[in-house]
Amino acid sequence: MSFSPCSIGGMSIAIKAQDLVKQFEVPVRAGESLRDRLKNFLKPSCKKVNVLNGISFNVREGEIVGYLGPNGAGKSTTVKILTGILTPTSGYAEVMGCIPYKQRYENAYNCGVFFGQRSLLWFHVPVIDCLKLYKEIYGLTKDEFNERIAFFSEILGIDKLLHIPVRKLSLGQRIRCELAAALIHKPRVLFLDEPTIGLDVIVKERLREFILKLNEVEKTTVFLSSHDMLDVEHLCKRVIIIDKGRIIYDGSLEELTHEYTDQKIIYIEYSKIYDQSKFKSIIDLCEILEMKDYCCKLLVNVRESSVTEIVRDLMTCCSVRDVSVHGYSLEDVIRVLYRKRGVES
Amino acid sequence: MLNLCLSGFLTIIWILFWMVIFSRVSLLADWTLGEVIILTSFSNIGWALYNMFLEGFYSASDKVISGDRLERYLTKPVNALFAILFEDVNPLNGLTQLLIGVFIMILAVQFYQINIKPMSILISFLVLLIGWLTLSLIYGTVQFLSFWTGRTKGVMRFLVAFDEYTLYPLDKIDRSVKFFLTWGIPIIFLSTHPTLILVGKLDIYNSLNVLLTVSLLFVVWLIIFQFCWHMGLKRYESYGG
Repeated sequence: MSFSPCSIGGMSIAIKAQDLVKQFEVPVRAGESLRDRLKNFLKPSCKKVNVLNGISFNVREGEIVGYLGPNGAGKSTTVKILTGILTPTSGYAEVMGCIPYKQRYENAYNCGVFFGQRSLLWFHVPVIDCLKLYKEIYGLTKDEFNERIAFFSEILGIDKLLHIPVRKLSLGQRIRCELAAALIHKPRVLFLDEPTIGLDVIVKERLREFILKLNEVEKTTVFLSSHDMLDVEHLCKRVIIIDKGRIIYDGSLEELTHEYTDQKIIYIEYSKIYDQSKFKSIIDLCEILEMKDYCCKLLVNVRESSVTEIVRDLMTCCSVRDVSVHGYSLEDVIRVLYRKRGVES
Repeated sequence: MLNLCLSGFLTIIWILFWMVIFSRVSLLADWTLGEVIILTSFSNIGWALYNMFLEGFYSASDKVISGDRLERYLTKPVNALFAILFEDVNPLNGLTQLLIGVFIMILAVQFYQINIKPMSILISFLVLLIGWLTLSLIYGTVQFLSFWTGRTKGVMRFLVAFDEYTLYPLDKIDRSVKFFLTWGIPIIFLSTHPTLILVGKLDIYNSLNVLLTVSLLFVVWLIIFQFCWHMGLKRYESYGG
């Protein structure tokens, strides 16, 4: 069972969010005295906190979009609205033509949801029994189910894990099985909220390959919310960055990092400064990203200053132990973006 | 086996309690020992049905607050409410209690030669069933208040304290208390009224009246229960990211 997405300009829109606002009520404690506590008990007061402040975006079918933001920005809240868990305070959301919080049943057939910190499986039951239960829930035929199990066994390597109770699986094994559970019904849209949290590098790589394969073979739209920038770099061509419930960037990853291709980061470790004033004057030519005892991280615009000259000058005024020069990683770009937002606000 | 022994032991203790009371008096507010034993067995049967099928109404709050299991169902094509309430159904849970209740009832009817009509068996068990469903809906409604207030353990403890009254005949108690135990927390329909109907103390007209009353309460609480669920779900805030 699936429902048609709307289309704009000939391109099918899989996910549509329009002016989404979500407010939570946070209790406010008057004070710590007995009188305040009684007052709080008899007349509790709350303040309304806007977690989302008018989020709008469209995601086309077959796209893999990274949804980034600092802690508390509203990423998980957005995902929960799009999956039908939460109802927005105002605004509109649509996933494959369904309003998720009103048409939960229909939306569930179109979407697969995977939360890294929550489990989709039943703890005391073998994996295969959990998957069979989902087979019944989604109304899959025996052949469809076997085909999916064979697919997951080949790509995720879960065949050896099927008869093990979920509670006995390691984190990496459990996450692979959870992904299988989220995708058992061949959803057209996959929501991933921190899918690689707590995983080692090998398993992370494997998961990324799986998601890319899924997108290539089944044309699944992937909405990835993650703090791991390597996930985003490997998987996403487009990113949406939110902060304090507002979108601060929505565009291609290439455009985001392009602005910073002229920037280089010099990391220098030293044991002793010979000439303090010269050291300070060199440092002042650059933007200081980090300054600690005996090490610092400097940002240099190569159009304005020469990296070689700066490194050479630093080596003359301090006893350098280690120096490295590298370009901006996505993580650095995001950090600068967050910091700028912090300065502006 | 342990459940069977425990249930049996507790039931015997309770019957012994009544036997001691009735060794001093021949009637307790117009109830005989046989009728009180049937009341005890109705209490057992009711509790058994609750433990087997309706316990989910009592523990819905933990699933709502903890959020983990509710979110699992909200993102699947299942009736989330039904899944939460009946996920942990375990027919074996109260089976021993049910068997003991039925056994004691049959023994009491035979031993005290109580005349039972087929119609009164049907009506009394219907009243019992609908009464327990109504009480479960009340529990569930209170549990769903956790969408707004957080934990509801304190209120639930207060409610559950009234469950002990299923072991006592409630038809001759103070009027205001009886009113509360009929229209507030309908404990009177869980053992007292079914017993009165079964032993023939209520004629067919009054028995049907009782059935109608408990059915009305059931419908009212069903509407309140559904309303709380729908409003609560709109209000649901999940937890964390």
